[in-house]
Amino acid sequence: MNKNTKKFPRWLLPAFLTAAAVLAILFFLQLLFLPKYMSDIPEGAMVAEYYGETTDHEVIFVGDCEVYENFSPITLYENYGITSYIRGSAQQLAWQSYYLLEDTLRYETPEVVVFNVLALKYDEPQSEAYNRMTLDGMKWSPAKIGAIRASMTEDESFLDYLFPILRYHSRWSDVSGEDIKYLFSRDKVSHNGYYMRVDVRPVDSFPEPDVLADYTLGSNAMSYLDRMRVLCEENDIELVLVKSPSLYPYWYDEWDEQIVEYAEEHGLYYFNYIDLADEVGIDYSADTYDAGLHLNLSGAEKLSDYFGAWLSETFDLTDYREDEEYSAVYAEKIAFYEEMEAAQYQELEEYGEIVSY
Amino acid sequence: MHLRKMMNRTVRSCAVLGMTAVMAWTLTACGSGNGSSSSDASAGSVNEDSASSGSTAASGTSSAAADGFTFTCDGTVVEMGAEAAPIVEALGGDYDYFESESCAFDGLDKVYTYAHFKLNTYPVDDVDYVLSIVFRDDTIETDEGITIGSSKEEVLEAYGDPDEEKTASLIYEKGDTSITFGISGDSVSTVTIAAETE
Repeated sequence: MNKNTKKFPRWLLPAFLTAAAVLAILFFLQLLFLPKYMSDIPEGAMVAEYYGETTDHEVIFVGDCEVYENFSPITLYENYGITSYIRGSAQQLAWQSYYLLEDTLRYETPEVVVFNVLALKYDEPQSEAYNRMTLDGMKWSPAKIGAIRASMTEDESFLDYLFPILRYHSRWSDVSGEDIKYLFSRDKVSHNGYYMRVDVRPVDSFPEPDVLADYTLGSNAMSYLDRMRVLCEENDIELVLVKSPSLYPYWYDEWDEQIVEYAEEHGLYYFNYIDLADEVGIDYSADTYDAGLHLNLSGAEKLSDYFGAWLSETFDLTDYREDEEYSAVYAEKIAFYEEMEAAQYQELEEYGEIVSY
Repeated sequence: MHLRKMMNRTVRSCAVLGMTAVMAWTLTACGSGNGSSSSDASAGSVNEDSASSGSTAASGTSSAAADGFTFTCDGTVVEMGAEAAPIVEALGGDYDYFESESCAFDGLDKVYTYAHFKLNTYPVDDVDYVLSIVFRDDTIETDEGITIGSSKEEVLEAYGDPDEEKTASLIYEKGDTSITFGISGDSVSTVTIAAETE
């Protein structure tokens, strides 16, 4: 035996195993304490759900609740064979939509990207709770890092996103059965990113709009719209701008003019569906579940049908209803859609309101 | 034999260090849970507890802005971030009311439109807090005497140099509140006093 042979110190293996055990415990606790967004605030689970998709999409929507509550990808498929997905979350800001688009392009290249312009009213990071709902669900990539850096409010730290346990450890006293149940997997809450509500609350009235000091859409938000446009151009994708027919919060004419001008300058399509609501067939006494802020299922299906007809006529999109693989995948999606619709109507009948969604 | 000893030592040290780490973490968690600093409140708690505008700061105190800008109407002092119900009661019943569901979170964002100003609220744990006061006309003034129609110079005299100056607005910050004066030409066109809810 060679006396000069170097031996590993005796303490090395125990130390390594100890460190591994501690890391495993911390990782487990992190999984345990992360909010699951299942029975409460399902919107927080939608960004992550995208990664479970098994087929590509020719149309990608990006934006806030004005896309994920107002457009139904299932209707687009059923009526036109269009495959689409909504990458949206609550109060999703323009830079988050940009980075979610970047993230999406890591997996697929759609023919059309649709961006809802309401988020351009926000020029600065707004709220950690909303940030978390968008960012925690993203898979790690340069896009996620960019999204975090662009989104953090003053009190937030990048480390808290890198190691969520630093942020969520105080949930230890709130851990519930749901945290255990959804430790390693989550239920599906959306329909290709669409959040369904079947109840009805008619539009009544709104407070008068505030007079603003400055109606110019912020330069930071507009710069991300510009980056979205360039990203689409580089990937040979058509960018379509929409303002969905939600009546509140206000969409000022002055803002609209700036979007019209931007769209004209860059040769983009832009549709303000508030102005087109009659043509779409939106009935604000029946097609909204929260008095005009968001459409219900009936309203979303009307809007999707109208928009789908235009998409089909305008772009060379494939009718995937003829495709065996896609039709099998979408048969399951449609079944889930119809099942949730029936369950929500059942709750309405039973309780007079939606209680589980 | 040597291997068994080593494994025993490993298991013991794993157990001790693991327990130490978990205990240390748990103590930290307890400390944070009881802390008064708004930054200690986890986003998880915020979500679970329904903070609407995602307000970690405002959720921690009944009046996040007690040392900030206030607005006084007929002797009623409106503190930003304060519980709204007693203020609304003190201001009297002559208002239009509007409510909308907080996007994603439980609770309602409410707007009370009075003759001369609007009072906006946000919900936390089934309690509404004052989010902002928006002036509607030139018949009311800030506690520092500025009204819609005051000159920019009067604002600078009353408030000093702004914390932020944009093309058409002057923004002042105090405590967890801000006051924004929209400037059109050389005069004040809008006044908004708000709680910083993040």
